[in-house]
Amino acid sequence: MIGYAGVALALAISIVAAGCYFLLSNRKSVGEGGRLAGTAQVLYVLSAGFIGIAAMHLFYLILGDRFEYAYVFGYSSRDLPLVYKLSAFWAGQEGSFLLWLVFHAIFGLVLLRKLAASHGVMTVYCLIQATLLIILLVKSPFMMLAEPRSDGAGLNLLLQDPWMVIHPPVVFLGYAALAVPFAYALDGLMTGCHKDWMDKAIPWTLLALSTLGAGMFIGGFWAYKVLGWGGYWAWDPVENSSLVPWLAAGASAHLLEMTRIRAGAIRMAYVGVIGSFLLVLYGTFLTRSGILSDFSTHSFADEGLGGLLGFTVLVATTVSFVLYIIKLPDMPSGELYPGIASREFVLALTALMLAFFGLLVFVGMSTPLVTMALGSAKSVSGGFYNNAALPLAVAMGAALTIGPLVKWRGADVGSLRHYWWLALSSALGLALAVWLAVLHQWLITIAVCLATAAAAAHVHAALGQRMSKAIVCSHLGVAVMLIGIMASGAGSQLTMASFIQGQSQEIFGDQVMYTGTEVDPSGKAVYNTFLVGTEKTTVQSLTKLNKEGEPAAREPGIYRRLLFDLYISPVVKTDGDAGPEVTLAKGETLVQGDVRLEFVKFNMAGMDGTSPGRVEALIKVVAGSKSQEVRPELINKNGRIIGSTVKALDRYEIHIAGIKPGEGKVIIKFKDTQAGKSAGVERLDAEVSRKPLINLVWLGAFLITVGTGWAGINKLADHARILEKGQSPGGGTSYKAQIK
Amino acid sequence: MKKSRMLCLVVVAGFIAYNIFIYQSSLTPYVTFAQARSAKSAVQVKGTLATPIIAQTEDRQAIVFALRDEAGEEVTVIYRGAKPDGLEQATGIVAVGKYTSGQFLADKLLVKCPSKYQGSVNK
Repeated sequence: MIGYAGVALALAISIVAAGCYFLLSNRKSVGEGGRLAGTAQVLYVLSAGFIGIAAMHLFYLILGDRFEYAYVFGYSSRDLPLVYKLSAFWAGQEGSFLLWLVFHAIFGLVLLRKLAASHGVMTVYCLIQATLLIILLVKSPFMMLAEPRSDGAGLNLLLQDPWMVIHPPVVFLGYAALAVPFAYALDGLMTGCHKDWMDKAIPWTLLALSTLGAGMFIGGFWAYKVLGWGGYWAWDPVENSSLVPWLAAGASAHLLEMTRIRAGAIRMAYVGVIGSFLLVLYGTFLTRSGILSDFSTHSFADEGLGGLLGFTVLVATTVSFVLYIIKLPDMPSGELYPGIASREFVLALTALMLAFFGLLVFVGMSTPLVTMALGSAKSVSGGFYNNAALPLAVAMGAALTIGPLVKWRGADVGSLRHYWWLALSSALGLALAVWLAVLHQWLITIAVCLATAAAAAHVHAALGQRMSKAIVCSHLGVAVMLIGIMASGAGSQLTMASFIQGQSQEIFGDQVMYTGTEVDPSGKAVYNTFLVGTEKTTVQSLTKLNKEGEPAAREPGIYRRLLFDLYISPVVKTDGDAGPEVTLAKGETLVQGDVRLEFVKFNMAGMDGTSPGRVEALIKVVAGSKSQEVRPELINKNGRIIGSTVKALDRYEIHIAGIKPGEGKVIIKFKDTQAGKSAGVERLDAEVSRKPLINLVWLGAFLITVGTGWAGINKLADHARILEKGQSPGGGTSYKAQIK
Repeated sequence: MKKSRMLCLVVVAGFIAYNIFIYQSSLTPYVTFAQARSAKSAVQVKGTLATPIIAQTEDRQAIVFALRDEAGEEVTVIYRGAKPDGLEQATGIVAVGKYTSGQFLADKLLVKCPSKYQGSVNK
């Protein structure tokens, strides 16, 4: 109960603190309300402390194997390794909300103690905290089960991966960070100091870009490495709900940068910053209300949060935008850019493109919701997003190329002859497109050419010290990632291969040999081993087994090379049985050496769908003068289909693997147990794909994460330095005379 | 200045028109089996396993099962690819694809699994 009480107390104190800060923010002079300010500060620290206590209590319950708690029972178990017990904390809805709150509280303390945030900012920030705490009270991780348990259900095997341990915390760091600029912006609207908050908000926007981006990239890397469908991004609502705020934050960062020079950008910066956080809330609503459970592979099921989350989104959106519209007339305005060949124009264009892409993804992910409300539910296929992204990728490449060349206020860029190296780098991109054999896809070719030119332009800008290293790093990341996405997507090849144990075959220019399948001594996994390439590199795909010994998660084997990956995902075997599957129609006979198997008929029992049923196949086995009738059967046990294996004549194993609905055929596997190993040569079917330059996707992701984080830390340091010097923060913004 | 604005507007309008076009062509409606049979383009159907049998095709490249929708209609679904985990225990299965010559060819399956501990508490 400690944790539950902690959440409840934190909620009460947050609301009181918000009230205090609201009263304080209405005072005209800073000098007044000294005591109240002290009280409010103590209250905030207390609320953060109680959130910390609740989090510690949940950790304590998980580490102490307290399975009487529903959350611990649902996501942990006795035999779970310690590191995954830690990640069980955020494996479920309730725990991940608590984690979000922990980060929110930490950032709140930084705002209060280090950055001396104003009372208005703290008011908004406390209200957001209270909202998250209400959600956590409604959906608490501290609920007890009706009957205590001795062991838990355990963590989903797919999530038992180091990348999945860090993925949620990194994403929630980003979500929490986006609340800070939102609080600054709302305070700016309320006080009417439209210029002062921009410099303070930008480090947080950059940090959110870095962490939320890293979170998405980690998720993508995990999907690629573990799920085995061959890609890293599926445009699933859960993925999109992180991508849209990230794109909005990207647009915000460029707009905030613009406001340092152009007052005209302030209006758009407000929309970007407020929109980023509202989209975080909207994404949370979409993925956690269960509203999309028919449309998403990994959306949470409905657990009674939908109404509350929907209400939160509506209220926050209405309040922010009413406030914005009221204050719109007294916002500074002015010319956005002096001409096309100016840095302002490229920044505005970049923000527009990021926002436009975000809007398209937003429309796509909201389609089920809107169409459901209109009466006939529809969703969009992944092709929509890919087709929508491609022209924007081209435009993005163009903007990234021009960006470093043009100067603030549209200073002369000089003669085009100085830029011969741009033509050279585009030619390099063209050569790359030829090598990838994607020339027939002209948009992709253009995008690759522009991305290589963009990379060159940024290296040139870094050498000439015309751009900060951090920004060059993140922009290079975008360019490199664009090339990686295009190359590994458009240039990938796919085939279905049938492997026979010990026989090598050439796939996309590499020799691949399947050497066999063995069970891990722990009994928790089954490995398929392949030897690939001239050096006979060992590549293993594996199937993780759950406690019952049934397959629960499969990981592909990946032959990683600098310039490409060979990606091997075995097709699921119905069981570990050797021996080929044979399909027999009624009356048909299978001849295996000197054995004959005749499929006589099916005996149906309850297969009309009225009851969970059983099918048995009557099979006559004849070997020489001996014969026997056997009845292998398919049984439905608790919703699982289990095919039985029967022995005939004490020597032959017959396993029923399936039936053909509507055709009256049976699929069986036959094994002669006394035959040597040679008869039982294993076969394995696998989907093999070659993905060129996929490493550029990961390299780009790394550069974006480092670059944006680096830029954010630089800006935060600037902000703290200004505070230390005792200057009024935000004094760095000076506008050239721009009168309407 | 004015010319550049005009050019921008034309480009943006073109962008928007293009996106509306691809958006409309990629909409996949949720339909009943009866509607799926007459649909020309990709659709989504939702149902439960009609029989607990999940078979593999001859070439072992696809799985075959019967899906029943809420109206009680049944359709044979063929899905090219590996059997998703938890297909047998699914409380609901969504298949995205096209209906052709008496079968529903799915290119995507969404499997809705009962929440882990609900399943075991209700035993």
